[in-house]
Amino acid sequence: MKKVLVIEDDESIRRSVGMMLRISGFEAFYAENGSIGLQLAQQSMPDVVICDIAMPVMDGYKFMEELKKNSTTAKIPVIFLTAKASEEDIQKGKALGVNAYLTKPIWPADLLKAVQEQIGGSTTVA
Amino acid sequence: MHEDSPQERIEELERRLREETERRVALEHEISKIKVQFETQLSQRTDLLQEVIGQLQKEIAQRDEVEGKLRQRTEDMDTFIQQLKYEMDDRKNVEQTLRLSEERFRSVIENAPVGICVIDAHGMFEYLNPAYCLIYGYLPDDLIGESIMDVMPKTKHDEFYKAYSGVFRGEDSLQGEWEMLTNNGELVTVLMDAVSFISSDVQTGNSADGETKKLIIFALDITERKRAEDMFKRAKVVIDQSPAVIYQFAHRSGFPLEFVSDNISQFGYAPSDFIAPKLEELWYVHSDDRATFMNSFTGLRAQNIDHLRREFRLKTRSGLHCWVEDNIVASRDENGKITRYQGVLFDITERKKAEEEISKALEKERELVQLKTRFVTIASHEFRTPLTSIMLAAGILNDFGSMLTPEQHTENLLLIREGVEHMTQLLDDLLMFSRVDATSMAVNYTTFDISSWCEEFAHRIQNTMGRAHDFEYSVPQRECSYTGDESLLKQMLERLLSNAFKYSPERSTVRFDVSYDEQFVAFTIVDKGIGILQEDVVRIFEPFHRGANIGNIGGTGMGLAILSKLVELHSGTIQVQSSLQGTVFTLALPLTLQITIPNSTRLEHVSSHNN
Repeated sequence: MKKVLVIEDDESIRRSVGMMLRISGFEAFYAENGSIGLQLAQQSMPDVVICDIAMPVMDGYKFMEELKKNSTTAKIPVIFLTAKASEEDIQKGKALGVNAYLTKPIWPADLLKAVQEQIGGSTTVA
Repeated sequence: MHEDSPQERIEELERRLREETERRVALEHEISKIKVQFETQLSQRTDLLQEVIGQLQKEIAQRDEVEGKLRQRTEDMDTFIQQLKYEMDDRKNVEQTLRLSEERFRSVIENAPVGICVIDAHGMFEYLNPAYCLIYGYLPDDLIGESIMDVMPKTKHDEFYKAYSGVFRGEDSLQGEWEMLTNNGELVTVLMDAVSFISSDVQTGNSADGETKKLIIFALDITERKRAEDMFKRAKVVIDQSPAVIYQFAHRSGFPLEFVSDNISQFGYAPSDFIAPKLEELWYVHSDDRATFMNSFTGLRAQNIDHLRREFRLKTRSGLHCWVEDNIVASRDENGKITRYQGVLFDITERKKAEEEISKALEKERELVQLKTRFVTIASHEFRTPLTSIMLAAGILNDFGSMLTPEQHTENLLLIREGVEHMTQLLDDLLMFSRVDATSMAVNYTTFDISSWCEEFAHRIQNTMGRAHDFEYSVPQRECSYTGDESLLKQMLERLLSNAFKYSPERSTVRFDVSYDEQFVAFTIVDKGIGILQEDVVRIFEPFHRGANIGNIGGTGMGLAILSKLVELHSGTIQVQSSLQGTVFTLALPLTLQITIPNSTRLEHVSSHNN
């Protein structure tokens, strides 16, 4: 079962995303900020990470930088799911090497599709 | 009758004899006298005769002498005539010289750059040199025989007549500036002087002794000079009255100032204060501006440019500083070498002030725009979160509905409800915030006893939002009159208390203490909650700002922002002290609410906000 790490400070969103992933056959686990997310990513090596940007303690940008610093975690595909919708924000995210940039609000089907694209890509290679 | 006796006769005879004798003696004496007289006269006559003879002899001698002299004279005369002949030759030579001299003299006068004319006693022109004619635009023939009054403006006739008749009498002078008329009817200013002289020209002479007085008038056209002078005078007035100080300094060692206009007085100085040897010490420049002051000028010279504009603070005599704008332009000679610099300097203190005010205002405006942009950005961001959870839950129900357990179904519906509630709260808060911000609040004034009101309020809280906590309160029993809007007061206190409950563990103590004096009422809310991080304390009243340590505790981040606006509206104060063991908020309000309606303009509103 493919593992998806959801880093999101809003509990409702965490719960919804998790429910959708589990129903779709993924193993979902959560972190409420980038710092915890980084620890979990290193421990569990998820197949894909869904990450918010604006979060307390460690934001999504910092999480991305830290993830890329470690060669073992650097290859994990990351999807930014954020309310930061300006072009500037999107460019900043892409510059950090995120694999997909999704803006809130989003339909669960669209998010699921993005997750499957990332995992499908990696499974094809594998 | 008696007869002569002989005796008597004798006696008579004797007497006669005596008488006769006496007469004879007298006669003889007389004769001898005449004889002497005659002899004297004779001898005198002889002398006279001799004298006459002598004179005759003398005259003869004199005549001889005269004849001699006459001869001599005749000889002299011949010599004289001879000399006269020589002299006449000489004189011819002299006349020749004189003619040459006169020609030269005439040539000088004809070519003189000064107008020269001769007028007679009636003021008629007898002679005019070309320069004189040039002044008035006439030909000499136009004016000869005409009156000098023809070139005088009518208004000056009397004055001029008086002056030139005075010159004839040797009592007055024509010396001075006169305005005269040209052929074109234009006025020219002429500097004149005149001397009278006696002419022996018999043809025109008519005075008793055949001599007549005439006037030589010298005239110099100074119209241009006059115009330049007038312009200079006007320029000086303009300079002196203008706020701009004009100055000039030489391009040589030390750059000595050559000129400073009098209006330097506006800074309390006299021009002489600057034309002094110790100018290079820059005592008149604010010490902070001296380096740039010097560098700008060195730069001007180094870059070989001709214009410099700089601003600096000029120290006035009274020790104050005025901002001045200083413009320096280099003057160059025909070889392109800088000779001197001209400067114009003016007080821009007011402009600087205005600029500062404008830049402050602009800064505030910018801040306000930034604030608004940020507000909108954050607000839209804040809406995305509940919208996302609504969309996700709705999407799951829609796309995966058949796969959901009844619990999951309910959970999604609950998430939608929570999202909608959160958005509604957000909208309410934003609306409230904008209402307080725009000060379009409707304020309902009432006067009531704060003691009993607080008692009632606290009691109600205890039974509602404070039920899950250990809520303690203290309110003085002493009555205290409060004038203000009851619902706004309730709102402020509820916001503080709801935060205290929200961020404190259940069953922990939350205190509400009220105190008052003659002017203020103070409300202190103490909790033993999660506290506010040091970096968040300063930002806690910003819209949407939420502490980093709030975890999953929901909220819009607008509560304290609205509160601070309300406190501001009440001219009150709000203080916060916090540690991770708890938080103390102290709200102080004046007992009589005087809602200060800030000016509706944005800038003033911001400034009151900053206060």
